[in-house]
Amino acid sequence: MIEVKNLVKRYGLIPAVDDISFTLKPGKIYGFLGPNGAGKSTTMNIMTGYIAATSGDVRINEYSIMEDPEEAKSFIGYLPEIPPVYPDMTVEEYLRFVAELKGVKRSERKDQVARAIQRTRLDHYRRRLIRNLSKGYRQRVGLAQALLGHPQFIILDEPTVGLDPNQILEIRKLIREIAISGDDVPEEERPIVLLSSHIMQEVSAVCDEILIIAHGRLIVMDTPENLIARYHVNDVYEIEARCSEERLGEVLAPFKEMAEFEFDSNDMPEGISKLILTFPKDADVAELLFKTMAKDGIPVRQFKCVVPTLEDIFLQLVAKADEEFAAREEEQMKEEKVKNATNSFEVTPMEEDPMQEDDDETEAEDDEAEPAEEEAAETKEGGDET
Amino acid sequence: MIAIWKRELKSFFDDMLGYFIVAAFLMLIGYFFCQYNIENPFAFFAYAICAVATFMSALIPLLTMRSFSEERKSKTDQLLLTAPVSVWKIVMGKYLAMVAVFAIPVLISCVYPAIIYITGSYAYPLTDYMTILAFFLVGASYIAIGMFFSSLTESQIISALLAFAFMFILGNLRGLAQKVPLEEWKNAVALILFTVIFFFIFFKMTQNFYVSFAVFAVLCIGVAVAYHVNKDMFYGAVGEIMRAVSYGETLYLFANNIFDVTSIVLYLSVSAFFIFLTIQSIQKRRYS
Repeated sequence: MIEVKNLVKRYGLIPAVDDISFTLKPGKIYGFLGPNGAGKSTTMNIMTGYIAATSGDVRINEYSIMEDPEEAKSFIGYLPEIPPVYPDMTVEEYLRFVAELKGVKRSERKDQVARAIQRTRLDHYRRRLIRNLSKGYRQRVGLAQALLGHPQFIILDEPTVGLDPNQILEIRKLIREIAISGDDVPEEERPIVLLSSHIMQEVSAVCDEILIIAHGRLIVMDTPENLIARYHVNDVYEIEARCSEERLGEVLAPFKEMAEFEFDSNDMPEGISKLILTFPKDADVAELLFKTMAKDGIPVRQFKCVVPTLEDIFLQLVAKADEEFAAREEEQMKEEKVKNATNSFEVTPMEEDPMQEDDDETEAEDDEAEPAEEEAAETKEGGDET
Repeated sequence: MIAIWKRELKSFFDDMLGYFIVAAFLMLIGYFFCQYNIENPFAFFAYAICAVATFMSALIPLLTMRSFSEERKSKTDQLLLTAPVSVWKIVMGKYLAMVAVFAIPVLISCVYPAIIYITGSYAYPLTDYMTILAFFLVGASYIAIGMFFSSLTESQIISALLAFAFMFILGNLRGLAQKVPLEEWKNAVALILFTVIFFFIFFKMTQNFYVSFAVFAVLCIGVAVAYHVNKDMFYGAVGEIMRAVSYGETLYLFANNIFDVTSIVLYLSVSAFFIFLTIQSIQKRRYS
């Protein structure tokens, strides 16, 4: 089991990882998802003991990576963003070196290296200098290296970046194999795989659970199914029909109580109207909608039920995190301003500074008020048209 | 540790660098042996090896420059630092591998006193072997210094240049010491200036202003009090300190048949100190 507790890493004053906590359980593949610069690599580097955290702790099988680094590290196989390979060694030499470095017993070394080579399909390359290998094969060597010493925790930082589509599929398959390989051992000893990516599709294809982070904070941790269930709040239907917006609105008037109506015909060809209907989840009205329109003889060009994909959810969550981050920064700046103001307040005459402070606050209030007004305006417009 | 030692040693001889270092030392040793002991009928090989030692500050940085710079640049340090091996063992593995490369020409040079002993009418093998041992220890301490500079930067060139400058000054401190003024107050001021520099380095490393300032203040007050109590202490003090840590002529002591324990202790403690600094510099990078 890996426990990450209140992990913080600051570079100067800038937080790269901002209070992240989670627990990883054996036998599962976890996906670490976040936009570039979200703090994925930093978190992984701390978990593997490459860099130290500003505060917080990582416990690996009850060993703290800060206090008992050697014990904790002995459970980990790590593939960093750039595979840590020595170009002047052959694949086999390198893997034997890593096995020795990880303290694999002399008698087991040969077998383990052979098995790692076989699992990563490097058989034909074992005597090649790593210098002469392509990016994809170096990545495989890096992965083989991470598998040595039977680590219980395999941490892979963007394992498929820079590979061609075939290799990506192969590596994904391999990662799944690694996780399943523990089926014959007791549950606590099954491997945990944690891989990072900035591509949702990849994570959802491979992982059992997804951790989304942005701006150094863990936003959500859940299975893909639960994520969809949690963020799939509305059934959205898109209807394109050959008639005026008013007519479409009239015909579908019976649904007005249940659904939100929004017309979006601007990009449509002439005579075509587009209506976006938002129903609460599981309303199951598709057939009814279609029947209603058919009865009134409305020629429907396209009728689509929009289900949010994980990708949509990811983007939505990240956008939300971006907003929150901006708000946090603004708040911080405001605090600093207040601090500066109170500092100068002691020196300069009273009149100017408190005024300035007030100004700031009212400005901020204005900012907050604006979106609300806009929303109100939008709904009003929608209402008028229908 | 053994894994790292083996890998390092092998990598020196997988490309030219290891052979180059060994060959360069052997060439210098051979050249000075010819100069001192064959062309001139002089029975001490020790002086030849002392002459070779002056080239050490140019050759050792070549040996040490890539030890940590390269790892950091190619990110292979991630492998070492995330492996279940302590930083101490990583540093020692690398250090001992470089010492092993350096030991090859030193071991081969042990043949020369034997040649003198067999063919010459006079021979002083004990003096010669003492000097070779001292030469080896000087080299080992230079390797520790070079390794430390390599752990500071990603650039091999910069680490080599820094190491060269440092070793060059260390080797010539005795000469420089003669140029330092002797008056008490000048020496006291110089010591205060050293503490200021020390304060900045300490502050940079610890990022703790109060602690570093406290250390600085204590040192300054110490100097001031000592100056008041016993002014004579400061007469030529800086020069004395420079002479004490100078490497320049210590080897000649051995060549003059003096087994100078002070120098041996100096070499060993410089090695230990810079190995310690290397470990600290790697640990520190994890925290910044």
